[in-house]
Amino acid sequence: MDCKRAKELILLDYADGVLKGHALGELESHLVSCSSCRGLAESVMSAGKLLRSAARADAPQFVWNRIRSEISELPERSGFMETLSERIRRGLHHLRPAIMATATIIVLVFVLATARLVSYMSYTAALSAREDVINMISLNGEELAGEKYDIGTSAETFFL
Amino acid sequence: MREIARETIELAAGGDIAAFEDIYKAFSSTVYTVALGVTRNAQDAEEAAQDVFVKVYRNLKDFRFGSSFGTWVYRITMNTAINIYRSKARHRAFGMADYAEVKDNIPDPHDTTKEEVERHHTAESVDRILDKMSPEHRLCITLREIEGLDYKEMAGILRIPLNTVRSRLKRARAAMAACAKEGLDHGL
Repeated sequence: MDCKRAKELILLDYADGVLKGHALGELESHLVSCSSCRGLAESVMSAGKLLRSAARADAPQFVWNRIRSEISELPERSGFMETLSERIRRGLHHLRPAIMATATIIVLVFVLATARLVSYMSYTAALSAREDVINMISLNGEELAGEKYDIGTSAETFFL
Repeated sequence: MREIARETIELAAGGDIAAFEDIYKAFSSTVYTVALGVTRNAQDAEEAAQDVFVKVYRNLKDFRFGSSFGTWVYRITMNTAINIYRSKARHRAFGMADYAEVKDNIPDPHDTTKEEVERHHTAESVDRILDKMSPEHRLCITLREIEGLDYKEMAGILRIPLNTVRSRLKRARAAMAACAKEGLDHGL
């Protein structure tokens, strides 16, 4: 086992006490031969043990007294005394899914309307092109057979 | 991780102070320990604990039970403590921790003089290690070593993937080991 792998194991699985079997044996063999990794293992284990043995601290009693005093001064949590801003805030929070859905619908409508507008503009551009073709033919003064604007050419099929 | 009955939370959310006191009793030690671990200052930890429970009370009605209540409280504690630490650190010229002093104030009916001396020595050693670490590393170490949370719980609180928890804890433990070694080298 190299030192990089050994350090990784020391700082995680070994320190957590979950390193077992072959991996533990390999690490322990490495620790016998490597003083640097052995030093790290000793420091991690002793510091971890020290921290775990330290008692969890309790907040002094006056902290609860202050909290109680502060929350007692807050607006009533229900009934008519509840402030308008609190109601609006809570209402908005509850309506969040509906607001999101509405926003999504608005975006979709906008996208669809834009697509429709683009499509309409393409259509009007095509109509305009058709009129241009007809005008061009009229300007040439040619007599059209049958339908007035049915010129029956491949150009008409292409443009119209 | 500590948890509390849903009906207690619902009662407290409706303004029942007695129910909220039950929540406080269940979580005050956790909140204070984590706040002290991050800020390393008793006054700041007291201020953080007060802020945390007022925030919890104000937001109880919005708690959706979609996640663990304990995780929610831990997150509020972590953010509040780090914010207080950062805002106070700039203005504080001296005096890191009075963590040992706080430990001395914990009443223990079974205390004997020898045990008191050992406890004082332990608290001093813990101080020396934690005081030299960054608040982020201290938070990691406090959650894992003092609070005894597993990686999954830490990932939920810190909102990071499990692999990131492992890499952060690895760095924090390396820093912890360096601080512990430094203390030994100086004969502390």
